[in-house]
Amino acid sequence: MIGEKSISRRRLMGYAWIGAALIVIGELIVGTFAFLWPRKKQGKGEKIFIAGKINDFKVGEVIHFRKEKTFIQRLEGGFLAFSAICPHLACIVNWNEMLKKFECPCHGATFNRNGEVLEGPPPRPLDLYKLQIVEEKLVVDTATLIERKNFDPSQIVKT
Amino acid sequence: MKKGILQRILESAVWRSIFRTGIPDTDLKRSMLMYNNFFLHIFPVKMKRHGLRFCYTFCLGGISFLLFIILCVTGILLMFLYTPSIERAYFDMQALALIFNGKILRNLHRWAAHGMVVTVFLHMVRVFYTRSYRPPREFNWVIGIWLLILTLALSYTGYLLPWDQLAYWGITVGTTIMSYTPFLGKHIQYFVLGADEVGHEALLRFYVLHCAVIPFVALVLMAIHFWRVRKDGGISGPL
Repeated sequence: MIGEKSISRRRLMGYAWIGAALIVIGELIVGTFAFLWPRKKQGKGEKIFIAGKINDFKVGEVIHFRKEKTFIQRLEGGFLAFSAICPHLACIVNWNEMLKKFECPCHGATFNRNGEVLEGPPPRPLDLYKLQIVEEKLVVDTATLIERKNFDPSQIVKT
Repeated sequence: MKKGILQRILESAVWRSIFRTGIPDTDLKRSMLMYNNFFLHIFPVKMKRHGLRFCYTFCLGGISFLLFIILCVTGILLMFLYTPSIERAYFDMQALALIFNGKILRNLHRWAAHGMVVTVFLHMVRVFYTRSYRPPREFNWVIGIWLLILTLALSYTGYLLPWDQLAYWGITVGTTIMSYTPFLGKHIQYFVLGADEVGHEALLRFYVLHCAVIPFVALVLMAIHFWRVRKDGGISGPL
């Protein structure tokens, strides 16, 4: 005997069976989750869209792109592309043209025209999308989300 | 003397093969009746007198189970007329108004679901106030908590199925709350929805969970729950 405690052949076989059963059960659980794990269906390229030409937008105007869930606003110095998804719990905010603010229908949050929270529960201002101006056209990349603490003029994309 | 038709049926081999005990005219036969019947054997053979008082239990567990049965029956009937696809779900739900008894079945399902959440909660309150969660019934209390969670999960998964605005944004909000879970949040949301946002995958997942997975698990746990009431010594003692 090498050690003081010896293990009987019966007990060793018992442990082997239990170990084998645990491996099979583990495989089944992992396999089920892998089977149910969703496939990625959207490529990154589909998340980029062209909003229009610079001159299509008037200064002070906020345009809602419903399908892309984006707001584009032209300010004095340039453009801002907002995500329309509320940073609280992902409802779609609306632009109120009368009161000049964004309103979320789910929990009553409002944002000013720079996307900063006026009232309600959101933890941060409306997120921005990466915006580029290519050959006088606005190209919005909805795959690149810019989270921010507050509005800063440097966020404006210059024309 | 000529035997009556009822007597003949009760003494026939077929009847006796199904109900072995015969007429329960003694205490032994009465308890054997409980032991030998599949549906009755989960009940205690004897009841304590105070347990029969309405104001001790308020029948809340029984009402919850009755509502669950109503939900199963109406739910199965509704399944015949519902398609879990984003093109058809809302219209199938609306078309119930045109079908004989369609509206009442849908509303029975809806109100029984609301009622079950209330009665399950009140049942837990009753169990708590009568100190019935204490040993030897502590494990049955744990099963009860799982049944509460499953009841809420059934409510939540059923919420998406009408595919109206309330459903869509309700599930958007709920799954975004899931995404606030530390570390795993986004993955949990992605797994539950089957995609990045509420869509066909989410509707199908919620449909299968609502109609098959959760009711099956709940039924198994309920069977254990009722059987444990008996095994843990029947209803708890008076305060």
